[in-house]
Amino acid sequence: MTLRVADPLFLLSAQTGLSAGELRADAAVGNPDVERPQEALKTGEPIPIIFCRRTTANKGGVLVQPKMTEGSFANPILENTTNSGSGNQIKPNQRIRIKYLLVLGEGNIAQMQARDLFYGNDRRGTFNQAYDARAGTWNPGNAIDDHFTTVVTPDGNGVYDTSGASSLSNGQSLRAGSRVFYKDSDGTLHEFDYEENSFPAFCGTSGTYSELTTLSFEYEHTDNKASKADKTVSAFVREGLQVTRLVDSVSGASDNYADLVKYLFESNNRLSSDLIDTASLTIAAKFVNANGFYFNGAITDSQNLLDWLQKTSVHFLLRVSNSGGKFGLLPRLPYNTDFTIKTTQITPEFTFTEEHIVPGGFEAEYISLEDREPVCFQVQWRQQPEADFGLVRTVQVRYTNEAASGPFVDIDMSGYCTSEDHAVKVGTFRLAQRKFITHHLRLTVRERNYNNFLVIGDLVRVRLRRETSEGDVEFHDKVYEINRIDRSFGGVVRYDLTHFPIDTQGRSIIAREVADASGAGNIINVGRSTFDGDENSSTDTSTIGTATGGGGTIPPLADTSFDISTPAVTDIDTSFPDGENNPDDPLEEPLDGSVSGNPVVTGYTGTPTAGDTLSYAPGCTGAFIEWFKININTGVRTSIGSGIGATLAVTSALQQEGVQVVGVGRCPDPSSPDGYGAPIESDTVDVFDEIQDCPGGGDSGGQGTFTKVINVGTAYPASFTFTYTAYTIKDRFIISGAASLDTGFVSGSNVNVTVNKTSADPYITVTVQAPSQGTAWAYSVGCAS
Amino acid sequence: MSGGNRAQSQFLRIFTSGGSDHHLWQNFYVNTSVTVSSKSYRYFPFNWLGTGESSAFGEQTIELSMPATSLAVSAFEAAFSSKHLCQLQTFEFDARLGVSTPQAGQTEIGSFLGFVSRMSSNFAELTVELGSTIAPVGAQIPSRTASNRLVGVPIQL
Repeated sequence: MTLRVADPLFLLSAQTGLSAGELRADAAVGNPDVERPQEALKTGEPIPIIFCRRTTANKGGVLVQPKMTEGSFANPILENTTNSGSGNQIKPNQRIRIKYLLVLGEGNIAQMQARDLFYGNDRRGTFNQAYDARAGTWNPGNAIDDHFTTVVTPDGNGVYDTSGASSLSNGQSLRAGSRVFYKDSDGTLHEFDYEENSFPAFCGTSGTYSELTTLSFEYEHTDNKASKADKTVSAFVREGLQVTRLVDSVSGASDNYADLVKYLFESNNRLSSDLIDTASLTIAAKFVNANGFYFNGAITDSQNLLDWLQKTSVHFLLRVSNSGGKFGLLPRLPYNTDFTIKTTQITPEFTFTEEHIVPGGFEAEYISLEDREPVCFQVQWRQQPEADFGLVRTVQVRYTNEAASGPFVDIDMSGYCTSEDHAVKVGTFRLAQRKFITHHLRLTVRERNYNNFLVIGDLVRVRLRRETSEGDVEFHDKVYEINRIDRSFGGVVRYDLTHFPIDTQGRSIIAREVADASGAGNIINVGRSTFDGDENSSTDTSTIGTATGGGGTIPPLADTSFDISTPAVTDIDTSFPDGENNPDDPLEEPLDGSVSGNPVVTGYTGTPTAGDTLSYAPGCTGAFIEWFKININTGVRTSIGSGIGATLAVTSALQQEGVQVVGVGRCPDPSSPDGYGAPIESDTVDVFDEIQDCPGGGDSGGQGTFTKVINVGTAYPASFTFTYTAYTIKDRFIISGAASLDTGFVSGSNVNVTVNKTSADPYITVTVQAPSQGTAWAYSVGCAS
Repeated sequence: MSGGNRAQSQFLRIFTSGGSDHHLWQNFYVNTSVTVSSKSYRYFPFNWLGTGESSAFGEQTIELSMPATSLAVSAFEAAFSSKHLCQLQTFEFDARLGVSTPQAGQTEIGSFLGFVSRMSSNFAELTVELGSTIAPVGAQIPSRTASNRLVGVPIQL
C-alpha cells in the first residue's frame, strides 16, 4: 500500500509567498562602500554574476567593485626636470606603480567604457578587459625596493656606512636605513627620506579565467606616500552578462528577471534543458518587460538557487512553478494579451459546483492574523545615477490611516531594483494581498474531462449552495487561483486554491491596486558632476557634529512614501457577476445513436425498403454488430443477425411486419470474456412510413409496396372497419400486428371489411402490394370498438 | 453517467536528452506492443499513482513501482547512473470505443519528466523515484567559485 501525504493547507500561505517572513532587519544590500581598500578574491569565494542593462526606461546598470586576484607593485625612482630660469634642475621622485588583475564576473560582459572605470573616487589609470582570458600582459610580483643598487646594513653600533654613495653611477641608488641616496643622470647625488610601505609579498598566480570577464588596471602614483592598496577599483557596468533574451531572441545584455532565471538554470548544466519550462519563462519575461520590472544588480553572495528564486520572484510579481517536472515562472496577476496587468473583468476557466466535489472534499483554511494585520511595507530600491554609486532609497507603502507608526516590514530590493514605480508596485502588491486575500481552499473533485485543461495559475470559480435550517439558501461563490494540483489516477483530483478577490465587476482588486500604484518620480541630486578633488577642506579644524543637529533637507514625504487610497465600496470581494459556462465532458456523454452527432444506421433514404442494406459502426474498427427488430406493440426485441461489421438486408417480409430495427455495436476489448466491450446502440429505425391514428388513418398510391402503421386503439375484444379501393387493376391488402387480414389481389371500390382484433395491442400494420403498372389504390381504417 | 467509461493508459519513455530511446513501456495493453506518436511501446506492468503540479515551493517527485525483474532493474540502474530522462504520460480515453489499441482521440491527463533520483527494491518489487536533480548538488548561486584552476592562487593583501 502506498500512502500519499499532502502538505497541510495552512502551509500554503508560506509556500506561495503570502507570509512576510521577516526575521531581522539589516542594511540594504545596495548601500555602497565608496571609499575602501581594494579587496582580494579569496579561494573558494563565489564569482559574481552581473546582470544588468542600462536603458532610458529602466535607469539601470550597476556599480561594482571587482576583487583582485593578482597584483604587481614597484616603487621606481624617476627624475623630474624643472627650469626656474637658472638652467635645468633634476629632482628625483620615488613613485608607486601598481597593477591589479580583477575578476569582474562570470560570463561574457560587454566591453566597458573608460568613463565607467574608477580608482578610488576618481577616474584614473589604464584599463584592459578580456573574456575567457587574463586581461593583463604583466606578471604578478612585488618589485618594491628592487631598484636599490646597494642596501647598507648598520654595524654593531647601529651606524650606517654611506661612503659608497659617492661611488654610485648615474641612475643608481643606495638605501641606508631611513635615508635614500640617488645619483641622477647629471651625476648629482640626492638624499631623501625612505618611505615604508606594506604592499603584499605574495602577489598571486594566474589562472585560466575560463568563461570569466577580467580587468587589468595599471596606475602610477605621483607621490610615494601611497604605501598600500588603500583604494578600490570600481566599475559601472551598463551591459552585464550576455544571454539570449527571451523577449526578442536577441543575444546581448538583459535586465529581464526571467532571462536571469533561465541563465541560472542552464549555467553549469545545473538543470537539463528538458526540465526547463521555456514557454512559461517566455510569458514571465514578457510580463515583467511590459510592466517595467527590471533587474539591474550583481549576485555576489552564495545562496541556494531555489531559496533565492522564492525570495526574489515575488518582487517581480512572479512565482516559481513546477509543472510536469519542469521549472518555470508564472505571473502572479492576470495579464492582457500585451502582458500588461489586466484590470478588466477576469474570466474563470471553470466553475466548481456541488456536482464536481466529492463528499468531504471541501476544506478551507483562513490566513492567520499575523499575515493579515495592517503593516507598512518599507521598500528599498536603488536610484542608479549614471557612472556613479547608487543611492538606496526607501518608500513606505501603507493604506491610508493604517499602520501610521508601524509595524514596518522591510523589502530590500536595492540590490537590483532601480525603478521607484517597481518598488511601489511590489509594496502595493504585498499589502493588497494581506488586506484582501482571506483564505485558501482545498477541493477534492471527481476525475472529469475539465481536469485536463486546468493548470497552475488558472482562475476558477467555486459556487456551492448552502441551505440553513431556517430554509435560507446562500451560496459560497468566490474566485480562486490554482496553486497546486494533485492528480491521483484513482479517480479524484485535488486542488489547492488561493482566494482571488474581485470587485462587483469581476475585476481583480489586487491587480487594480498594483496597476494604479506609482511613485513620486523625484530624483535626488547626487551633488557632483565630476570626481576631482576632495569634498572636505584639508585645513578645516572644526569639530564635526553639533549638540542639536540640524541642517540638510528632509526629503519630501512623497519621495519616501506611498499611501494607497482606502478601498472603494466596489473593492469588496464579491461573487462573480456572470453565470457559469462549463464545457461538456465528452466522456460523460452517451454514445448511442439516439443522441445527435453520434454514429447512426446508414444505407437507406427516408424509410428503409426491401433491397436496402443497413449498416452501423459505433465509432471503432472491428466492432461486433448485432441487429434486432422491435415489435412496436410490445417492444420485444428479436435478434435477426450478428457478426463483425454485420449489415442488415431489408426484406419485404420485414417490411410487412411493421417493426423497428436497431443495431447494437461492441468494440474490441481483449479483457472481456468474449473479446468485446460494452454495447453501444444505434438509433432506432422505423421500417414503415409512419404511424397514423384512427379514425382517418389510411393511404393511397400507385405501383409499388407500401407499409403504414395505424393505431386502432386498445379495445379488445373488438373489431374495426377496413375500407379499400383497388379499382380495376388488382392490388393486395395485408393487415398484421394487432389484427390479421389478407385480401389477396382484389379489385373494386370502397369495399368494407370488418376485421377482428387478435390482441389488445393498438397497432396494426397495413401493407399494400401493387405490382402492376398503372394501378391505383386507396384504403382507410376505422377505430376498434 | 457512471465513471466506467473512463480508462487510463500510462506510457513510460526512458531516453537520453536529445538522443535515443532506451526503453518504451506501457502498462495497459496487456502482452502486446502499441504505437503512440510513431513510437512502439511494449507492455510492462509498472504502477504510477499520480502526479502533482504546483506553484508553491518545493521539489516535485513521483514514484513508480514495478516487478523487480532483471529487465526493470537493469533499465533503471542504467537510467540512474547515466542520468537518462524518464517521461511518463497518462492518457484517458473512452473504454466504450475499444481498448485493444490506443485511440486517436485520447487525452493526455498527466505527464512528468525527470531523472531517476532514488531507487529502492526488495526481491519482488522495484520502487523508483523520479524528480529533478537541482538540489542539493549545484544548487548554489553563483555557481562558479574561485579555484586555483580558474583564478590561480589569489593575492594575499
